[in-house]
Amino acid sequence: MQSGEAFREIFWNIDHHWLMQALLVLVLFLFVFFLVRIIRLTRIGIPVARSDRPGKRLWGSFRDAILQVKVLSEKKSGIIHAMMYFGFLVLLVCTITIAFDTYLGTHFINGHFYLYVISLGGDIAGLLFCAGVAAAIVRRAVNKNLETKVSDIIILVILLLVGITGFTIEGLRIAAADDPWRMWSPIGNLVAYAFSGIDEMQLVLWHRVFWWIHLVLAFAAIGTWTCTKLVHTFLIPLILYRRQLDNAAILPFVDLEDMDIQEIGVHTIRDFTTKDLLDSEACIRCSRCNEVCPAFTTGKTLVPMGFMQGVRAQLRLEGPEIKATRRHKHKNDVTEGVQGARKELTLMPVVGASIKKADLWQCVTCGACTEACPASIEIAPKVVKIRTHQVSMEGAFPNEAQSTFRALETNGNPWGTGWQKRMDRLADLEVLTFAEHPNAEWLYWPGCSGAFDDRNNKVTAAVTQILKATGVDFAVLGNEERCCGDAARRMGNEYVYYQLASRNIAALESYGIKKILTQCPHCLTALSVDYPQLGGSYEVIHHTQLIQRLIGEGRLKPSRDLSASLAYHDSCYLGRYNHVLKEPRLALAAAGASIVEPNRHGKAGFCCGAGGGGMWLEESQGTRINVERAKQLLSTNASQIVTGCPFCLTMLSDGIKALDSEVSVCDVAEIIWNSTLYQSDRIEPK
Amino acid sequence: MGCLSMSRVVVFCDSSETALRNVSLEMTTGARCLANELGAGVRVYIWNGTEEEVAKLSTHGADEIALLDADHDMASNPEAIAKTIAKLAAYDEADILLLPHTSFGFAVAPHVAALLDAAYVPNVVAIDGEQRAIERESYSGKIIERVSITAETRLVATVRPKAVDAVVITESCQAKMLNIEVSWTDTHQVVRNVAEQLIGQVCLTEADYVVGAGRGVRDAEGFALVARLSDVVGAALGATRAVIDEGFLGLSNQIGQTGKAIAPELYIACGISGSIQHMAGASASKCILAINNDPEAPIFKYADYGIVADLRKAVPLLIEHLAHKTD
Amino acid sequence: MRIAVFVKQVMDPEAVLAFDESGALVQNEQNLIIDAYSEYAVERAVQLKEELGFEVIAVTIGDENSIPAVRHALSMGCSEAYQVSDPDQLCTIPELKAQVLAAVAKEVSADLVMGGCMSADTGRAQVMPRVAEILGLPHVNKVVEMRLEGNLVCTKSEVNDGIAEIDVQLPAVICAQEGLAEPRYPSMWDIMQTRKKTIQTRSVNEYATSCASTSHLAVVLRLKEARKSGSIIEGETLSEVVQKAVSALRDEAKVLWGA
Repeated sequence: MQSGEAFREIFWNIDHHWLMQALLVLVLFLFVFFLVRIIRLTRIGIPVARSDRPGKRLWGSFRDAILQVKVLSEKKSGIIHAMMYFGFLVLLVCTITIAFDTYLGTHFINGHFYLYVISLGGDIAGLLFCAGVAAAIVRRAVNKNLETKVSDIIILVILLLVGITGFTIEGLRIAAADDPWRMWSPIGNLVAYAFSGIDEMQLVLWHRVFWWIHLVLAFAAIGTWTCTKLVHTFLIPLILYRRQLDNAAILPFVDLEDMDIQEIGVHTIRDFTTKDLLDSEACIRCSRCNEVCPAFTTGKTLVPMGFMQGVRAQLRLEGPEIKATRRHKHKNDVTEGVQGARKELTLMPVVGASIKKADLWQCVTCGACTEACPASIEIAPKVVKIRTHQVSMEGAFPNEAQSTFRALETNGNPWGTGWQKRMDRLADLEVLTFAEHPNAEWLYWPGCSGAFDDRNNKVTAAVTQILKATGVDFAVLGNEERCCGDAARRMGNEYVYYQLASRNIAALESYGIKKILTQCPHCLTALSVDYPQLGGSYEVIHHTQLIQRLIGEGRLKPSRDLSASLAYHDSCYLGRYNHVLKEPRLALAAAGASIVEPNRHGKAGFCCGAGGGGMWLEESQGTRINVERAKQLLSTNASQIVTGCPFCLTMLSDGIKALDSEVSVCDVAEIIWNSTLYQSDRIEPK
Repeated sequence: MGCLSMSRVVVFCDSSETALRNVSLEMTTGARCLANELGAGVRVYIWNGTEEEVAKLSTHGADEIALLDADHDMASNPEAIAKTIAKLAAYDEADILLLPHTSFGFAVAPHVAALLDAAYVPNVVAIDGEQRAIERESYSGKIIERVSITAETRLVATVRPKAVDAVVITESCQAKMLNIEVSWTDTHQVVRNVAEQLIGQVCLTEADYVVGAGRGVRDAEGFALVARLSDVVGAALGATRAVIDEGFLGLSNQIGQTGKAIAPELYIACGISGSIQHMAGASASKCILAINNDPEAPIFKYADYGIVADLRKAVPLLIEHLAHKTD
Repeated sequence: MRIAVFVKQVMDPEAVLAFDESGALVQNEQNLIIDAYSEYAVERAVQLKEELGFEVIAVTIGDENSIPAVRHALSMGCSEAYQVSDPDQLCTIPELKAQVLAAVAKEVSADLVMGGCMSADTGRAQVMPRVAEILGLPHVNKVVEMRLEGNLVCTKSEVNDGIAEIDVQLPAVICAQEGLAEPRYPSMWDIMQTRKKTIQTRSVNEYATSCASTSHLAVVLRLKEARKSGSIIEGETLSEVVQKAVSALRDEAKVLWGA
C-alpha cells in the first residue's frame, strides 16, 4: 500500500526554526504569566474548601468542559461552540503530535495515523473550526441581545484567520510539493486546486510568507489566550472542578454564637470566595443566564450576566491594589510588627458597583441561571451573600420586608398571625401533637402556609387524610413549630433565621425527632440543607415523595380514572434544588392523569416568583413573574395546574386570576386524595 | 352601698364644633344616667349654641347648660382649653368629667386629668348608669375594661361617638342657663396655624355610613372611585394608614387605632385587608360590607357581607346599584 | 442636650389573649415587643441625635421582661438605657408611672422628654401629659412632626380634626403619634453592638413616693365578643354578586334605605 509509507516532511520549506522556537518560549511565558496572574488575582477572596470527592469533581469537569455536555444542552449556540471547541481540540492534538515527532523523535506522522488522523482528521477539524468560528461571528453580528464587544469579534476573526491561513499554507504546500497523499487532505487539496497553474517558485515563496503569517497569528492567539476571554477554556474546567457538589441552595454558615463576629455577608469584592471570583473571570457573557432568568425576562433591571461582569470589572479594578496592600502588610508584619501594617484600603461596596441595590432584591434565587450556565457559575448564592450584608450589617432592604421580618421575629410566621393560632386548623383535623403522641414515627411539618393560609389549609387537610388513611404514624409540633427560616435567610436576615432555626431545632431535639415530612419545598430545603449547619440533622422528605412511596407500596390506591390533562409546575426548591422531579409526576400518573409539560419544566422550570423571599417583596418593575408563569402554564391547554409548593400555589392562583382564567391550581396531595376518595366511595358505599 | 353624694357630672363639648354634634347629646344622656344613680346634677358646657341646640341638650338630660364666652379664640389651643376646663371643673367640684373621644378630647382630657389629679379613662364605649360603671376598650379592641364608679372616684373620661344612645329624657326644657366668661390663661404652647384636614361633609365618627379606602385602591384613579361611592351613598370617607401615607386623604380621615374609631350603621370597606390596627377603629360598625380581591384577607372575618373582587370592577357596579336606591 | 425617651414593652397586638383564675391577663408565653408609639418617639429622638449630636437616654419600667424594650431602643441608636425594675407591677397605675418617669427624667437631666401618646396595649394615653405636669413642663400631645429651632420645639400635632402647628420652649414633653417617624429596623450588627452596652438598673421604690394621692380605679377586664363573620357572597357574575349584596343590605341588614 502506498499509504504505508505515507508521511509529511516537517518544516517543509521553512528555515529559521530557532525563531519560531524562541517565539514559542515567549508566547508560552506570556500564556502562563497571564493565567497565573488571573488565578492569583482571585486569591484576594476568601479561600473555600472544595477539594473533597476528587473523582466526582474530575468527572464533572470532564463531562461539562471536555465533553461539552452542558454547552450542547442549548442546540444552536451549543453546536457552534462544539464545532469550534472540538475542531480546535483535534488541531491541537495534531500540532502536539507533530511537536512530539520533531523534538522527541517519535514517528506519529506516518502511515495510517498520519493519513486518517492527522491529515484527514485535521482537515475535517479545521473545517469544523473555521465554520464554527464563522458562524459565531455571524451570530454575534446578528443577535443584538448578546451585548457583543469589539474584542469578541477581534478574537473570533483572529481565530478564523488562523484557520484560513492554515488551509492556505496546506494548499500551497500541496500544490508546490505535489503531495502524493493530497486526497487525504480534501480541503487543502481544494485550496491547492485554486493555486494550480502558478509557478512553483511563487508557490514556495507564498507558502513561506503565509507560514509565518499563520505562525504569528497563532502565537498572537496563544500569547494573549489567557488575558482575553479565551482563558475560560482553562478557568471553566477549574471552576467546574470546584463546583457545588452538595445542594445548590446551601449558604455559608454564619456562627452567630460567636461574640467576636465582625462582618457577615459580602460587602466589598474581597468578601467573595476565591471560587466566586474565579466564577466572574470564567464568565464569557454567553447570556444563557439572562435568557432563563425570571426577573430579566419579565423586564426587570436585574441582569445576572451583567452582575457577573460587574464583579469581574470590580476585581480587575480593585484586586491588584488589595493584593499589593496585603503583600505590603505581610512585609510590614514581619519587619515592623503589626503596628506598621495599618494601611487600610477604601473599597467600593459591591452594591452600587457590581449590582444595583434594587436589582439585588429582584432575584428569586430560583437557580435557573446556574442550571443553564455551561460552567455552572453560582449566581443566586452570591446575591444572597450580598443581601446578608445589606440586611445584617446595614439594615438596608426594601420597606415591605420589614413587616415580614418583624412578624417572623414576634410570631414565627411571615403573616404575623398570633403564634398560638398555628395549631387551630390542625386541631380541627384531629391531628395529634408530639406532646400528645411522643413516639410518632414521622413529624409532619405543615409549615406556615399549611397552618395559617386558608387555601393551603386544604392541602394540609388532604395530606392529613392521606397519612391517616394509610396508617402513617405521625404527629405535629403544633404551636411549638415556627417558620423554618428559609425566607428570612434568603432575604439576608441571618439573625431572624438563626432565632427561628435554633428554636425549631431545640423543639425537634426535645422530642428526639428523626424523620420529618414537609409540605413546603422551602421548609424541606431549610430543614435538610440549612439546619445541619446548626447541628440539626434529620431525614427530611417532601409530601409528594411520601405519597409516591405509599402508592408504590400499594398502601395508597388512587383510582386510575382521572382523565384530565394536568400541567405540572415544578417548584424551584423542590425540582431544581432538591431533585424531586419524578415522584410527583409518577403519583399523578398513578391517578390516571396525563401530564402535559410547559416548555420550561423539570430542572429548567420557571419560578413562580415567590422564591428567595419574593413572596414577601413587591415587584415594581416589568410584568409580574407569576403572571408570566401562569401564561406559560395556560398555553399548555391543560385542564388543571398542579404543583407541590404552597407558595407556587398562591402565586400561580393569583397569576391565573390576573389573566381572567378559570383554570384551577391544586396541590399533588389534593389530586391524589380526591382520586383515592372517589374510588373508595365507589367500592364501599356507606 | 351607702349614700353617694356627688355634686355634678360635667360634660364638656368639643370646642371646635360649630354645630352641636350628636356625641354631645350622647354624653349628656350618659351623664344623666350616671347622675341619676349617683344623686348628682348634670352640667353641660358648650362653647356656642343656638336656642334649639340648648333645648336639645336640655331634653337629653342636662340640668344646667353653661355657655362659655371666651375673650380669646382658644378653640385650637389644647393647653388653654385644658387649663380652662380644669379651672371650671375645680370650681364646680365636679367628680366626673365627660369629654368626647375625638382628637379634641385626646389632646385635652389627659391634661385636664393631670391638672386635677384625677383618673383618666379614655375610649369609653358604654355607660352603665344603673350599675354605676363605665366601660372602655383596650388591647386593640380585644378587651373591655369595666370601671366601677364609687364615691371616691374622680375621673375624666372620653366617650366615643355613638357609644351611648342619645335619648330624649324629658320633653320640657327646664335646664338652667348660665353664661360664663372665661378669660385667657397664658400658655406655653404657641399655636401658629391650624390646617383643617377633614375632607367630605360628614364627620367620620358621627356618620351613619362610612366608606373606607385601603391599600387596594392602588392609585388616584382607584381612590377617586371609592370617593365617588361615598358621595353616592352620602357617607363619610375614611382610609387606612397606607392610603393616608399616599396623600389621598388627610390624617383626620384615618380609621384605626391611631386614627378615628367609627361606629356607623354601615361600613363599606374597599380594598382594606383588615389589620388589627384598622379594625380597632372599625369593629364597632353595625354592619360591614367588605370588597377585597384576596379571599384570605382578614377583613372577611369581620365583615357581615363579603365581595371577593377587584374594587375597580365591583365599586362601579355598586355605585350603579346604589345610585338608584331612591327609586 | 439630652433627650429622655420612655419606652414600653407591650404584648404583641396579634396575641391571643386569655385570663387566669384571678381575672388577670395571662402574660406568660406571650410575645412582648416594644410598643409602636414608643418606637416612633425613639426613632425621632435617634434622628435628632444623628442630626444634632444629642444624647438619647431610653427609659423603661417593668419586670425583667421589659429589658428587651430598652435593648431594642439601644440597637435603634439610643446612647444610654435605664430600666426601672418594677417586679410587682406597681406602675400599671398611670399616675404612679408618671411620678417615677418624671423622677428619672430629672435624674438624667433631660432637656426634652419623649414618649408615645398612648400604648398599643392598654391605650390609657395619659402618662406623658402627667409627667409634663409633675415636671411643670409644657407638652404637646399627638405630635406627627417635630423639629428643633434653637430652644424652640416646633411641632405639628393632631388637634380638632386638623393639624395644628404648635411651638413650645425647651425643656418640654413630646407625645409621639404615628407618623412622627418611620422606625428603623435594627440590623444584626446594631444588635450585636448593643449586647456589649450595660443597662442601668434602678428600683421603682427609689422613686415612687406614695400612691395614696392617686385615685385608684376598680377595673374588671373581660374579652370583647368577636364580631361574627358573615358570608362571602357568591354568584355567577360580579354583577350578580353586587346585586345580591345590595339586596342583603336592604332586606337583611336594613341599612341604607332608612329603614
